Amino acid sequence: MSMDTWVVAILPLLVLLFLIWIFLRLGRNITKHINWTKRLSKWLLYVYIGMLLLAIVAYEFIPTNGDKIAAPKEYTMFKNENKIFQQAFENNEGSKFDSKFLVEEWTQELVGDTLEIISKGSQFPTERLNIEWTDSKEQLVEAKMYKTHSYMDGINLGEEIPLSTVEINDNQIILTAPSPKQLTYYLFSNELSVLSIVDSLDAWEQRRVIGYTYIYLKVPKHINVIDKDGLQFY
Amino acid sequence: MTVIDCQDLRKKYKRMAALDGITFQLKDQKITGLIGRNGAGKTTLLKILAGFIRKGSGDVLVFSSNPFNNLRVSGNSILVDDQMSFPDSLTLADILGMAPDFYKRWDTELANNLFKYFKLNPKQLHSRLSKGNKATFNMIFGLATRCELTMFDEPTNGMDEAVRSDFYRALLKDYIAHPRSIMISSHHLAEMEHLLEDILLIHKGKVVFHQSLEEVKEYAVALQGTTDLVEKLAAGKEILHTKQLDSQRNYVVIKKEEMPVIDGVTTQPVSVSDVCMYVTSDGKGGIDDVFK
Amino acid sequence: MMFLSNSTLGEVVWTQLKFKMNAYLGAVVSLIFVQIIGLIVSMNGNSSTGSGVDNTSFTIITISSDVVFAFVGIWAVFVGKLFTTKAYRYDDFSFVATRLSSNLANFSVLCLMSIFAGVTTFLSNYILRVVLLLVSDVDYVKSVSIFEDPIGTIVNLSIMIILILTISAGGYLWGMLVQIHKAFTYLLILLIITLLVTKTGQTILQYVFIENESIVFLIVKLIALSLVFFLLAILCSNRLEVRR
Repeated sequence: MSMDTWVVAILPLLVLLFLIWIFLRLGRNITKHINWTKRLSKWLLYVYIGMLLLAIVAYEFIPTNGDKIAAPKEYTMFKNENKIFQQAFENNEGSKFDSKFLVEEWTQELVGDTLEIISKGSQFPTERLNIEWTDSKEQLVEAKMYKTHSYMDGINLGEEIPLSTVEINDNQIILTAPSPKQLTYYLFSNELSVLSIVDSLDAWEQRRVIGYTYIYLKVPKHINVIDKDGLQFY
Repeated sequence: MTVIDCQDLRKKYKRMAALDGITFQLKDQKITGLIGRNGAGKTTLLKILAGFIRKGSGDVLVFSSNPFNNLRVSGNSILVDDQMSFPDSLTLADILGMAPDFYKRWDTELANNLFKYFKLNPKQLHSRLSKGNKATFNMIFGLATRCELTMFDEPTNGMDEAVRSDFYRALLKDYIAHPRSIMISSHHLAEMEHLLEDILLIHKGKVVFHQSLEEVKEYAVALQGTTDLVEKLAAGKEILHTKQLDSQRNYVVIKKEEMPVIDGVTTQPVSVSDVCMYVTSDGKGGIDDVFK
Repeated sequence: MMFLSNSTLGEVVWTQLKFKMNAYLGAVVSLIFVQIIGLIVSMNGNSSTGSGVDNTSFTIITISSDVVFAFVGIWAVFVGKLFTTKAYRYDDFSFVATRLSSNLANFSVLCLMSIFAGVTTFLSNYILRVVLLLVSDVDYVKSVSIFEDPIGTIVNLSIMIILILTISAGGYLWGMLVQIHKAFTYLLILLIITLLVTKTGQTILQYVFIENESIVFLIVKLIALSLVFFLLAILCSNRLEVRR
């Protein structure tokens, strides 16, 4: 850390120190006037310890999101699987797609020779799209939606994020992004984060895997695809 | 065995000598009165003996060891004074309950009986006691420890008349039942004279005398009569105190020695407290001299 | 005949310890209040990480014991200092005591209080876990609990306990120095600032807290530091006279 950060960091500390000093002073004056008996102190102590123990037990029964805490190893695995999928997706290697990422699939008989892809609901397309051209002479279009792993601090984000809706008409595919959503969670830590400044960043990176929604289309070569929103990346 | 052995003990506070060469020994189990005027060094001496403060120079041995930082001395001696303090969180009953852990010879029965007799409130906090009750409690505490060396520094300060006489009586009775070395410093020499065996008189940080009560009683004699006769008789003697009674008569205190009996001069014994007062006064006169 | 009772140092320290645990209960009660205030402050969370995926933004608010620990740390400094004040030192000498026994007893009390403070600080997090459920409708992420990670619990607990002990030993030394000369009151604040601002100070802090190959190493360092503080305090206290 640089010098400035240290100075900034200690200022609130000094204020805190001062406040607690005043608090203790005040406390001492108050306790002087109350006949603070030993019995009262002991009761307070027992009640507090009882509360702590109760809280430990009670916490075990509180429902939480995220069924388990994934170990860093598992995150590495998730990341790898995401990466492999992404590569296969870019290279149009449909056969290599991990079937567990598949969310939905459609087939549609097109009317006419054009296929229009429209993205709605988001300024930036939330889906990644790729097209595999087939030699088929038919009007049949095959669409598959995949979603890769998204985990953060133990929550399976994939379950929380609503899916894009896909609507296929006669010659249109309309992708509607999920409506904006704000999710907040509490995470509790037993550790002192002060002591783990250095490795906490790594640890945080390790606990985060972000996946994407992929749309993979199989379209016969003779069909003209209109992609005015620029969904096609590859 | 010698309880206290002081050799040329000195202690300075910021250049001012509080003790200026104290030499005395305390043997046997006796009640000794530590007498001296304000600022004579009584409190300093007692605190050094109790191991509260460090000696300056010279030697001080209590139970054959230097009392400062000595566990054996601390466990077998106690100094009762008005600065005694106990935690604010403990009631008087709590304090008495914990004392036996510290003092192996603690007398619970005596402590409880005295506590009841003086009608102290067991739920009271030490710091909230009135001055007199605090002194009473400290005294009970000091007596009940049964320490081989028990020291009281002005124990009766703040006590009322009745409690004072009760205290002296309790002290004497407990001493007879369980003899030990007791040292009391007090301003009220006259009222506790009857229980003292020895007197240690100090003045300006020095020992004036360390004698038995009987010896002190015989220390001086007062001559009273017409001025010229008294002066003639006292000439060449060690005069401790003179007082002009009226235009013709004079009152002179001299150190006792063989003397002819003369008509017109009466000899009178001098009380112990007067002896101590006269011996430690700087001028030969008294307060009257100030107004001459 | 004189009958002198002889107590060993160990006996006297043990007796003083029992006495002090009774007498200083107030300090423990003040700890509870300090922790409750710390808990109220940390209800807002210590840090939050956010991330947005597909039109959905995630915020994860991490609630750790750091704020409570900071409060308890400051409490520890003042408790250490409190034990060195005249009133507390004089109390010892109304009973059987030497400076050494008094110091050893104080240090034992600080150790016990640090253990209590460390354990309660660690567990206080669980009070928030329950209370936040009642006052807010934010969902919980599955967090590590004591039963799931016993080794991690022990490690974190020991670090907290030993850090508090080190801090209170520092406070104790500071208090002793203040008893010798009032000017030392401001020395601590000055020292903290110099440690944080100067290069050498930062190197020292980094050496102690950050450059550790393992947690055990950190613990050993902190224990050594507490002992040094404590030994210096004993040396200081030998200069002090009671009931002057």
